Amino acid sequence: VTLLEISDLVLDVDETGRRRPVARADVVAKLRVAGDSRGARVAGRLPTLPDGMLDPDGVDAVLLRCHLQLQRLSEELQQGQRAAEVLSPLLAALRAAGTPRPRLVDVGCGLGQVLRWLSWHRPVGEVELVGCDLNAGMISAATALATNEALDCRFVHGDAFALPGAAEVVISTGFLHHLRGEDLVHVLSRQTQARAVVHWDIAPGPLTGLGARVFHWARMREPLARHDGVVSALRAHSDTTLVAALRQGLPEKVVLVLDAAPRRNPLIAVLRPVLALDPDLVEPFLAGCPPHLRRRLSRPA
Amino acid sequence: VIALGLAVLLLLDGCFSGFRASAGRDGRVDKRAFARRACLEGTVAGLGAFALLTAGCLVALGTGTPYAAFTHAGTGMLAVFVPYGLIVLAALAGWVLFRPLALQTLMSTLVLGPFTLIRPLIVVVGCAVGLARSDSDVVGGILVLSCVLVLAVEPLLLRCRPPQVPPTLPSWTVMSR
Repeated sequence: VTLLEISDLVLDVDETGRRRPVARADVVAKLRVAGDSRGARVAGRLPTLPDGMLDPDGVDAVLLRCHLQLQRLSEELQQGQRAAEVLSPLLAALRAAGTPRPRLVDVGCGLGQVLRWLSWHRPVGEVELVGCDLNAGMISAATALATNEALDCRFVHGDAFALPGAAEVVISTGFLHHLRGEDLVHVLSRQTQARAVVHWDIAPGPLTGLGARVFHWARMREPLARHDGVVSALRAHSDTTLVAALRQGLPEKVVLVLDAAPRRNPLIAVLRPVLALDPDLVEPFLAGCPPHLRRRLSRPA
Repeated sequence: VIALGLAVLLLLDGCFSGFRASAGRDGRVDKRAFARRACLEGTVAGLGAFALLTAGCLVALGTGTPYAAFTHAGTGMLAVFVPYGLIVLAALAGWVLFRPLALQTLMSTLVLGPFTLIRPLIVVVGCAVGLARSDSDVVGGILVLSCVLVLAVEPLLLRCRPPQVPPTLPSWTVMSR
């Protein structure tokens, strides 16, 4: 069985962020060919226009419900706090190095829950928060949510690496596993201008598949969210793959892993970040980390 | 004491059902008021179930069903529900009170997630144990009704609740049913 996420198949955008029509039958066929009959059934219920093409508004509605449920899971697992504990010393190091208000860009931000959490709680000090996503529906919802709570962050539809002005920090959550092989290296190689890159993704381990099934069935209601949540966990990249991709895509940077395998506790390190920092940032960053965080960071061989 | 214990569990379960029915519907960061209202709605739904079951018990008692038949069944149900409830409450207290992220995550991964998943099974098993300990058809009927009502609270709230995301979001963000 080839592991495919339905959300990757239903959204096809060109490099300018414009959406191309997608036929539901094609999505269903791809899932069937991949041996995923359950996924094919879920995709077969997605709303279509009279010509058989997926209804963009209907698909956005489904994806938005999925992301709202994903946010609920992210809140339970305290992803905002997890991000803050790493970003706080990192941004402090950047400020000390002469950037008073670093720009932090969240790639594939979805509803932007991490940025909105950071903006609401302000645990990381002065920072410019920008979220990017290729899905215009997500960006419009993220903007509406940020406006509703008067949050100091903004969301941009389009290519995160084509924004005017460079980002000092690039982050993502649950994004890297969507990229495979050369695509993974290519996307990472587009982040060379950033001083620091921090990507959180599902930490694969012996309990990942079971845990993903339990949590997505207990916490999600949308069939697509349940399906994609489990598939995401099953195709999460190993530390080795991510470290190799980071070294290939960002050869000038120093790679660090938090809660690296095999010391990782699978019940606690559900999402773990991989970091790639400019060499001059490493020592100030590590010096600013609290001891418990420093102990969990390692430089892979 | 048995009736009181079951009533408290029913209302707590209603409250948590309300919270679960609201979860994943509001994208805002600060959803304390939203969650409070959801818990209140769940508790009210639990109260409705409690009123129905109390009325059923009173009618049964009035028509000659012995009180002991209820206490027998109730004791069996509590033997299942109380350990489950205590574990969940302890994990919830741990999640709320402990600061280290690792401990909070452990509460979620070990207890809160899996125990949410097995909750319907626990309700059915508890009622089945009560049924096994009761030789009264009337009590059996009330036990089946209680099982259905407890399991119906969350889906009912899901269906009844209007969209609760901020009004600036499109109306289609209402949960699918």
